[in-house]
Amino acid sequence: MPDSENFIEKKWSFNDFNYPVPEHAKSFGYTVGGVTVVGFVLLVISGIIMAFFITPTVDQAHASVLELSSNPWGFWLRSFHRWLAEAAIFLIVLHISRIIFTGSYRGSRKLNWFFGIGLLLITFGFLFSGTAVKWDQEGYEAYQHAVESIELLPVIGEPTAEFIQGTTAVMRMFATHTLVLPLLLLIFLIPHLVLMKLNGLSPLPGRKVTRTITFYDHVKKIVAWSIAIYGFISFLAIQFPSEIFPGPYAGVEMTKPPWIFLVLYQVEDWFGIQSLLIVPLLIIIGLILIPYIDSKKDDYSITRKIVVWSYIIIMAVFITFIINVAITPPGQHLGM
Amino acid sequence: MLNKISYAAMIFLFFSASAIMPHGDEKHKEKPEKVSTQMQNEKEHSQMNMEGEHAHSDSLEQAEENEAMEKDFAQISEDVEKSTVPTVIKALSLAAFIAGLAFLYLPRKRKENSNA
Repeated sequence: MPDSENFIEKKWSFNDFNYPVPEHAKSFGYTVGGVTVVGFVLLVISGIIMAFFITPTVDQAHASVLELSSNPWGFWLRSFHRWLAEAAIFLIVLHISRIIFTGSYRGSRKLNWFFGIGLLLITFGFLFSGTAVKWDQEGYEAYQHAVESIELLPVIGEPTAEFIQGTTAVMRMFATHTLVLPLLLLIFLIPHLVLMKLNGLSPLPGRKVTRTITFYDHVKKIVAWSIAIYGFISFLAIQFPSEIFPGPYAGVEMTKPPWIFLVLYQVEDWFGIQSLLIVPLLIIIGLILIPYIDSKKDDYSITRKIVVWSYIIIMAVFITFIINVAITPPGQHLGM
Repeated sequence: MLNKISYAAMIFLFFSASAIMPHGDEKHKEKPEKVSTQMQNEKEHSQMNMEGEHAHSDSLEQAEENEAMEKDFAQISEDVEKSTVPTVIKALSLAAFIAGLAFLYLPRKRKENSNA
């Protein structure tokens, strides 16, 4: 074997990644985080291709998106990108649910939980800015909601709203979507993965690890689930293409946001635009507090039960909101 | 140590966002202009009549344009459906879906690599 190969074998051996992990690493719950990372890779690839065809200006963005969609492959690519984004949110919710149900935020995993919260916020930022960039009626309404709620922020509200308004609005959303957020994603994702490696895979509550598989086997499961899930998403993207709405027109509200934002849509219906700031803030505070409320290693403690049941009840309420908004006609929120 | 560095990095990241003063274009500083208004002004400008008066579009016009744009997307969807590409994509997608499931659920020879 040549010296260079020896060096690579010593320094970069793939066998280093073939360490043992608990057998439950092959269950879907423990692969969903990895499947989400694969989704992000696909989002980046499809996004890079689309970036060559989108003109991020207020007068040309919408037309360029329609132009891209007039090609059958472009039509699928744009729809796939949107479906992937919504699927990523869904997978993240599943990932968070698994972590809460298994108490995987306790002890040394607390810091990684915080990086995860950061990644959740970044994903929401991606979904919002991506929706705004296409600059159709849906994108414009999402953007206007953001502007009106940001204006309510003390001190930084007015200048921030001013910064994102005007003829450069789409360009700045595009820069956020393609430069700022991907950079933040890397900043949060790399430590998230490194800490996962350092802490090891979390155990199943109330059970001791008796059998192990190799990390390769775990990765194989992630790849298999990814092929199945994103193959299905690709099918949905062409069978039920993501719509490009007309417009945009000011003073008209005829669209509803992506499904996850329907939770906020419901509270905005009841409490006004300020709830777009208050409710996400309360959710973030709640998520940050979870490892402090349920900090004991005991899998059967009362605080653990409180956290799990509170999460289940809140999720049930959110799902009810989503269904309720989905079946009712869009309402007027802006300028009220 | 890694935890401390990571905590410090997180705190720095969160606070740095609020420390940066946003800077917009100076020409927009006095009166923020709604993009829709800007677009509307551009449209009105192009619709200026012989006397130099603006031809204001009303809500009916907007609704008509709205419908026209909807037809555009509907037309695009129809055109795409006529091509063979969606069929190819559907076939490949379903093939990937089935291949993934087959990899997950088809029984295979079990490796004896388990340990206590």
